[in-house]
Amino acid sequence: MHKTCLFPIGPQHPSLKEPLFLKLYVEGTTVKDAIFDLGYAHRGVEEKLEGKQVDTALHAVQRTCCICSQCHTMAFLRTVEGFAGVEIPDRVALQRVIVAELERMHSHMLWAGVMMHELGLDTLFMYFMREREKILDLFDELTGNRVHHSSDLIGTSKRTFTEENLEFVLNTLDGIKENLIRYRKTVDSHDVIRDRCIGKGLITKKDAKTFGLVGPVARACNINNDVRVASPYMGYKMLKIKSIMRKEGDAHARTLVRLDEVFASMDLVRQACDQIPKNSKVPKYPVKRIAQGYGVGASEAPRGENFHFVKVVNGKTARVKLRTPTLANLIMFPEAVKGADITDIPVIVMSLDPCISCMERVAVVKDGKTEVWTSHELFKGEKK
Amino acid sequence: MKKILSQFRKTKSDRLVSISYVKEEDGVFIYYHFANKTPKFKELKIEIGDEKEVESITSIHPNAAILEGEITEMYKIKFPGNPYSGQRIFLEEK
Repeated sequence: MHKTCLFPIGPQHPSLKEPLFLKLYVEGTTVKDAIFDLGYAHRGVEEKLEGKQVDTALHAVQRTCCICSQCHTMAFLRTVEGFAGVEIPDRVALQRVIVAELERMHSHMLWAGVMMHELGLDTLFMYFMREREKILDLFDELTGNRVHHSSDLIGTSKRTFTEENLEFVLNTLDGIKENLIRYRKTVDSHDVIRDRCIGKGLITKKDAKTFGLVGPVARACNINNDVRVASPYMGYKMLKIKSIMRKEGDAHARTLVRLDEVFASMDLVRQACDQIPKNSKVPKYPVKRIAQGYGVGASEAPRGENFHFVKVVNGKTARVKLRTPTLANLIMFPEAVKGADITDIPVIVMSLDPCISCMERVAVVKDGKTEVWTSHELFKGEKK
Repeated sequence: MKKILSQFRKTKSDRLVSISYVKEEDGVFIYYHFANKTPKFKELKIEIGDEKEVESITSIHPNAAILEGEITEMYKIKFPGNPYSGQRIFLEEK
């Protein structure tokens, strides 16, 4: 008979890539209960976004997360352009989709690399990171920024992608496709990966539906909450989208869903590049000043549905609420690790692909300096 | 305590997406957004006035737990019946 004891992991731990404190209550090596202790990356972006010009708010929203910068941009723009009645031309709509899908590819490849590292397969980690680096080069070429792309404005984009840009994108994708197919085969057939992932971190379809899970975690349980399919927006209205679904609901299914989504995104980028109207340019900024209104909108981030609520009063944001996909999936995290062996915890947690800083709505960069608010300053609503 | 649960019975088959606390000129509101098979989100707007306690909807939508807990933490509105209500989620320990 084992006695239940507390096994802490984090907030700083080699198996965690972001600050998260896992309190595991274990009997022997079996996890009986788990508490996910958060708040180590919380800086209160929502509070900071209040009372800002809409353009300034967009600047901050783009910096909520460093992995899915474009999906926050798209959710915010979809919302404000929606209630302000701003029509965007096909070129802008498709340019945004190209960046968003490249972002999904790089996010999933980063995730796959880290997942392989957790499984002890560091060579695959390096392979995935090598291919991901080429996607970052594409961001550099298209937007000028490798991480926070910051390529879009209300009703328009900052740059017009040239024919040479698009050719470079397609050639790069051709170059990495063969390698990615090989890695996908390895992941599917490797004994270590199968042994450590199949049946681990199981989430049933019923639970996924009850708790409203989103993104690849839901799609691995055969629930399609893909915003691109359910309510197509911007360039997705013009493209044929293939949702990747699996039924198993375990860590292995989530791995394969994400890897297959890399190929689906590659296809979407190709479709978007083909459909961009030739010899067109993005409209001049500003297209429209937004004075009043409120609305909601969502975009499909690499981790799932990213929801924004925006209210603008007298040209300034009165309230911006961001519901990131990890916040929606968070409620299932303790359930997924219950009953697991303690050695499987890093693999199960990684398979859920948490984006902690995104969920806690973190960095606001102003004038080149990071501005950090303590909770006391947040509560008072002013910086000392 | 503000009783709101009866208004949410008809949303049982929908997926709760978000709960947003919004202070407006004409009062304090909580917006509930739901997704269903239609492309647009369904919205329920509840005026809470000066109430500091609002009925929790976790019995209908279990995923409301963290969303309500976050509002409790940030805006001091309590949701009796919510397992996360009153727990620290994002802010530092006092």
